[in-house]
Amino acid sequence: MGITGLGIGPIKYSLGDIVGVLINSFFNTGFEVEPTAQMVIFNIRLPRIILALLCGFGLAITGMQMQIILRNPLASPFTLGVSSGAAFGAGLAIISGISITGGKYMLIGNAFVFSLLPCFVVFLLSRLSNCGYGMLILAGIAMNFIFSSLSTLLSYFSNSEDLKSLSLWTMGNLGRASWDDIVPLSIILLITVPLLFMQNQKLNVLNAGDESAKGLGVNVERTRIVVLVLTSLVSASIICFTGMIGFVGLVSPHIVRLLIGNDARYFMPASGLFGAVFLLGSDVLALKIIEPAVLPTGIITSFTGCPILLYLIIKKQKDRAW
Amino acid sequence: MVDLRINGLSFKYEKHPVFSDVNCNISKGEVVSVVGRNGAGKSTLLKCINHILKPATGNVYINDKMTGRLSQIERAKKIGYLSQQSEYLFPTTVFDVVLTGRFPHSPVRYTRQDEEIVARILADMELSDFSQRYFSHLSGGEQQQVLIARALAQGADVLLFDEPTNNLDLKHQLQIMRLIRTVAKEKQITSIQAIHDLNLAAAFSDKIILMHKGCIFKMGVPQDVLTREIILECFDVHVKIYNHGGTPHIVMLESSETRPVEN
Repeated sequence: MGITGLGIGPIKYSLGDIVGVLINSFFNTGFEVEPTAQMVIFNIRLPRIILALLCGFGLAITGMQMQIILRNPLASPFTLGVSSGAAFGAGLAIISGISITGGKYMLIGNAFVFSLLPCFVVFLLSRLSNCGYGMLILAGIAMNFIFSSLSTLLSYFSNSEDLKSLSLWTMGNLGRASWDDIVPLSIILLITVPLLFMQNQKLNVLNAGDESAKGLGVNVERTRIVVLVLTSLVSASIICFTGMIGFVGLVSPHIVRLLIGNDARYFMPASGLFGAVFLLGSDVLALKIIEPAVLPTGIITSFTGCPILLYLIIKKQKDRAW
Repeated sequence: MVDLRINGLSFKYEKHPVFSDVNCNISKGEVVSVVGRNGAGKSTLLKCINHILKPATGNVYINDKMTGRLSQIERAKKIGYLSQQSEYLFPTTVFDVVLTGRFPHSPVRYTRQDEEIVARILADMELSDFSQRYFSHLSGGEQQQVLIARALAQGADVLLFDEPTNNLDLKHQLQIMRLIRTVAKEKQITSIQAIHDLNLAAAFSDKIILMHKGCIFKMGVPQDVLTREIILECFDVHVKIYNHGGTPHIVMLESSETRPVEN
């Protein structure tokens, strides 16, 4: 699928071109390749594919962990208001030109910082009032609404040019991918994903409920904070590069659970891999579906993910366990 | 031989005291029932013994070791806890449920040895046929058996059961209580359960702790605790007590609130 992704797009390349460019880029062998092909494949398409894989992987595992830690099958990486915070941050940069970081990372920096803001408020609330899961999610929804209204307010005062770029940003798009994005994102994922993997077994025990998990030796409060901080960090860093790509985080864990069951040893890596392949596949479709125009990837994920999930629910109806 | 010692334990929900100054000694392998009205603090006492709720004062010692100082995971190796309702959110097989009992011993990754222990416990309890079924598909009695298997996998010296016979039919109530007693006696695991049914408590316990008005009202063998006068005072219910081979058997008459004044 990755190779297909390299070949398709507004300009077509053959397998030979692709292999040539790849070998040339990594080994400096002086293969004869067209400079535009080199440019398009190595600097535009390859980063796009890697970004799709990284984002799909990250969103799916954060979704899976959020669902268990918040004890809610509808939780996703965006439950605590990450996406609306990011959209507001991006809007602030696009429309008013106000940004925390300057220059090239103006929009990304803003989106990142503002996406963590609602999570921070929710954590603070949970620490102060020691509230239950329902309240935590409700607080997240409240933050979602606050930041959505702020974004609406921004758009109300903006001109049509800015409005268009903001709404394009929120649609979720891998098209802006460049090597400059891949490097920081990979570093964040390299640090956080192993830490998230270490929580796996605890999450499996937490599935039994808080009290039982405590009885089995899990420090429930600490695990919850660690997982929420890490997942917010991962989803914030993904969303600030791509915009809102929904559905991958919500639906990948469910699809994988229906396919292979709940065994923690396979469940988390499988969710991640499924998310990665799913997002890449959606992106290939986004490039292909109304050639030569390119659709925002975020639109395709919902269109393709939904039927897969519904099909599995119907097929597994018989031994459905919840 | 004193195994579990509870020393001056008390607990408050914010400013409302639930119980205060609870003291008792329980020997290894003893089966103890905690009885009392709703809200008497039975479940809260169990949770405090296990530090799921942090006691306001007092300590719990197992073999003279203070459990409050242990980390949660070390405590879980000594005390197992079965909550009132098991809420597995996502579908989990019986084998995986019992495997989580090994968490305190293998917190990062379960080993082959853990899996062998689980398989052996399931076989001992004649649950092997269930091992690949989903926990949520089982009946209440079967679920309770699986949770007891999980507690055994935990390898604790003390097991706390919060109303283990809730929502079970008569046959399964007996089955679960028998299982708890067998486990306690065969494996010398001290077992403490919060329970409402006084007859079940009388039939299967070595000792009964009756909680009333925030403290232990009476503690001892069933025939000493479950008397007509004590039950009237604590539960406000008139009962008749038959002796059933040394075990008191309680038959409820009417509540004193509904009795005519002349009685």
